[in-house]
Amino acid sequence: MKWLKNLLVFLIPAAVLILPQYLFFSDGITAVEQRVIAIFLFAALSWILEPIPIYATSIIVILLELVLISDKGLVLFREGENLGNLLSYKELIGTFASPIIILFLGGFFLALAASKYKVDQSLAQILLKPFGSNPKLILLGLILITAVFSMFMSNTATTAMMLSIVAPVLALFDMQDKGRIAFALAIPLGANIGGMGSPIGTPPNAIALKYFSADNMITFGEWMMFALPYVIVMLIIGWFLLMYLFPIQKTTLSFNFKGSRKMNNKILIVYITFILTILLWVTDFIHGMNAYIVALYPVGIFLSLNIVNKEDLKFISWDVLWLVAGGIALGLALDKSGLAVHLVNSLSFDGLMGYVIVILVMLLSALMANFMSNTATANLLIPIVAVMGTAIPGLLDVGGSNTIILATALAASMGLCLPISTPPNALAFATGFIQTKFMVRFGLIMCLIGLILILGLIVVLRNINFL
Amino acid sequence: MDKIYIICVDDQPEVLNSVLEDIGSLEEKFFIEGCESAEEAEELMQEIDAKGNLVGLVISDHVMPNKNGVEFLTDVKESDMYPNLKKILLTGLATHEDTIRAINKAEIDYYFAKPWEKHDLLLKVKHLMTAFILDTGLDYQDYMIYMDQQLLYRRLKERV
Amino acid sequence: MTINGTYQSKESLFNRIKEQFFSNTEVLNLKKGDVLLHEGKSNDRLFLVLQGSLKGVIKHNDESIELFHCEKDMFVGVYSFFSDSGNSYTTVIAQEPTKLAFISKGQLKELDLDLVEFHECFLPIIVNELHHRQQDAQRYYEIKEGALKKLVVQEKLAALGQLSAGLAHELNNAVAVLNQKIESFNSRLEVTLKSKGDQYIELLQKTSTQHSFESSKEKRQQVGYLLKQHKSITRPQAKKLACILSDEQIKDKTIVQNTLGQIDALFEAWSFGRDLHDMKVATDHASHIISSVKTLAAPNRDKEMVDIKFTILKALTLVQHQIKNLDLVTSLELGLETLAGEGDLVQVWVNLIKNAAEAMTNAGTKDPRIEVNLTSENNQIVVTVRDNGPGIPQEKQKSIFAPDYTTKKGGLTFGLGLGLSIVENLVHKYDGTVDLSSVPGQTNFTIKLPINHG
Repeated sequence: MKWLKNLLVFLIPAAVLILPQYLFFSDGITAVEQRVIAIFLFAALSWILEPIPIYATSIIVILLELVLISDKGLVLFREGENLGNLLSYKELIGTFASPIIILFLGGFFLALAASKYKVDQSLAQILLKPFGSNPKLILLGLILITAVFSMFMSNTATTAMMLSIVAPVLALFDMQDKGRIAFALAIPLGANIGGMGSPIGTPPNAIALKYFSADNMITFGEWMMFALPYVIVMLIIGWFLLMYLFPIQKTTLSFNFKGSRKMNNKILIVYITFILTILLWVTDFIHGMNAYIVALYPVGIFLSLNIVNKEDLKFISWDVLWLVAGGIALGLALDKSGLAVHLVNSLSFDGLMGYVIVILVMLLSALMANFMSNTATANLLIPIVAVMGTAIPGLLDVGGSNTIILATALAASMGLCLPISTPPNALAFATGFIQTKFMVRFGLIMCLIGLILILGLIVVLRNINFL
Repeated sequence: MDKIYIICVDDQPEVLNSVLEDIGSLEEKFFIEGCESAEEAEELMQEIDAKGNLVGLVISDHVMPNKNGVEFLTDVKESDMYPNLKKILLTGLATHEDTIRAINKAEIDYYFAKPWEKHDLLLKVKHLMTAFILDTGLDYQDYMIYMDQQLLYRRLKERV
Repeated sequence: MTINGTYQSKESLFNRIKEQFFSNTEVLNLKKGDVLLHEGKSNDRLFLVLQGSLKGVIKHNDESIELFHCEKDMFVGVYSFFSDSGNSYTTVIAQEPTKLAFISKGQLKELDLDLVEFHECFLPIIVNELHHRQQDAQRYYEIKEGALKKLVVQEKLAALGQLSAGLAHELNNAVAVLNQKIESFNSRLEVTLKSKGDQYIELLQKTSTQHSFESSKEKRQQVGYLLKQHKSITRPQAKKLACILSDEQIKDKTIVQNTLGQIDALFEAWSFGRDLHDMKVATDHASHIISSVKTLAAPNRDKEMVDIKFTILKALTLVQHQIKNLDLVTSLELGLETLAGEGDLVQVWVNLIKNAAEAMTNAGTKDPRIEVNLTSENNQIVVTVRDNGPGIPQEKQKSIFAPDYTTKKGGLTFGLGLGLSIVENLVHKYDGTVDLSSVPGQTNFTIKLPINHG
């Protein structure tokens, strides 16, 4: 079974590669376009079935593009009739250092320094104190704090950190007390939803940022302005839902925090850099430096002040960066080869209303995100929907590509239902306190509410002419 | 997914059975093997290594004919063939000197006195396997529900 | 007449004193047991023993302790006569019909002697007396110390014996309960499994009564074979099959396939049997150890006819942990009996074997080996314990039997052995001999005991 599955991933794209060109569309396609289809199919199958790790798929995508459709590829592939547009190899390799990657790198550096000097943990402890000893309030506190951290740190690292705080407390609950399920589910909820709050909170957001049309750029600050209210509403709903589904019987709860850290110079620098970077990110309309440029500030500061050293660099999730790079390269190929436009034009969406398309794409995105990596979902869908936004008349009425890109990216964070959906879910599941059915029940309700609210958000943004 | 082995060594079959049974719940993810002598264990470990698989943990008795547990674990340590390998000495009779040697030379990670508590043994095995998986840089997601969660969190939050 | 202070030989001095002071004095005749002086009572006479003997004793805690002994030509009452208090510090008793000459302080005055001269004359006698008393006190102290040491060892052994006996009793009870419960558990399980089918009962009976003859290695090979032959079998399943099925059954594909259907239930039955077997082995082992310890530390050491081979086997059980890492070669003749305490003999062997094992471990001997032989020779039982350790240096071979001698470096030792001195004591107790011959690489202890033919 497994080998058959794995074989399919390579056989189907290979078959596509050798089919006659006239079979594809009524007007036929170029050789480059045909190859891009094969590469896209490979990426999609490989990201879904995972015969190789998802970051490896990204690298293979870039490699295949360089060999098959770049201007410095294999000679054999650079000539022939009806060849089409070859891509610049520089641009393809450049995806490794695309502005999005740099933005993420900046975020990683902030998180790295925070975790190295335990700033995150002490901050979490400080923030948790005002929520007292009422378990219901503590639950809210945990959700909010997790969300805040996951806006600037990776969702996985945030979940690990918060679970390490919460897990000892979970053991204090009675076996029958469903409250422990609520607490265990609160962390991935905060992490998954919180990640939507800022462009660097989770890769799909950053990928979306890249595809927003140049004349209607959404900045870092703008993103936070509409995403934050959405996140807060979602978290409050999630809080109530958790308390309703898994009533907490325990009446008081207290955390036993050990080892509070005294402030020293390095920790102070971390704090200052953190605040400075975020301030610069949300005030680009004043100083004019966009988010990508600002992202290099923490990198420069931490490296030169030896707050992050070369040993620490290995803790950076290069796999996430390369996963995104592969997606960007894939989008580049779809766009520059002309395939995306070709594809969208040949499909008939004319009869459909804009919002129907948005809803369908959102459902697809959420469905995919529940069964595979959120980032890979965004990698596959966003380049295509970006073109759809410009080509389909119905969509233009609802705000064009920006609307549908935003909807797709936000829906890609709706992977809430299964332990395999996201790493935070898997970590919470591994605590052993949550059964799959509880996660599915809670996740499914939150996912549906989330999708409805995304739609609502888009309608509102459209009405205030933001989109 | 990498094949990771846990090897238990005890010359008394009854005791060996008990150890194997106590950690049997990990069988779904790890390959658990029992050996009745240090020599057998060494041979098996070499076989595993030759096939490109990994030995994550050795749980050895001390008092055994021919080669005792501390000598065995010391040899394993000094062979340098098994980086990150975790070692537990499980014994009913070891002198003060043996114990010191076990810690200093064999670099054992934990010492259990017989009789042991199943729960404690299982927890420690999970803990050490978690450390092995993270130290070796394997994909922890495959083994997640069999891992020591606290250790996993501690190590994961360093990665960003 | 005068006696001047110039040096005179002891003999001539004594003769002159005897002649001068005791030639015409009164004579006292004592029967055996007559008391001459009482402890603490005043005495104003100085005695010279003419015939017989006396002893001086003091009472201490209702015990009479002998302090000195006087024979012919010795003075009695020197202390009390010349001291200020004038009290005797011992009770002096005649040990046989005794004849004494004496001179009292009153007579001394009547004789109209110069007292100073008299004292000068007696000075050497007094000093000599003091010297003897000092030596006696010293000797007495040493004897007492020795007795005390012996007492401590004996008490230790006795306490250990009592402790072990109590321990053995309690443990025996516990083990007996376990044994009984295992049996009843076994039979109840059989009743429960009966409804499931004969296969289950057979599996349970087979595994609970006999040790699995497959080594861990063979089992691993079987698992490998099964995984190779049957692609659909998972590894845990293969492990279970290797337990449930015999070697021939594993080779039969249909049996394997048929077993797969009920593999979990069958494995459960097998596990029950295996656990029962292991529990039985463990309780047997425990009772064996308990009985060995009991024999060794038995407070009752009556002599009986003992088969030597039997005692050696018991000793080997007790030291099995120490000799696990070395080669043990035994050649033991059956039916050689002697009249002795069983525990004593076990202790002899335990000590010898332990000593050999420890000496080799500490010296890091390569391929350590102990040979124990039991034969008879010239109507004597001969036991040799031989090791290939570092040997005992020539100069130490004598002192090794002294009570305090040990070459052991720290570490944990089984608290029953008190060294080779005990070996020697015990063997001598049964009219046996211990011989030692040792060169580096070979040390021989040879114990010879008399054969008793019933």
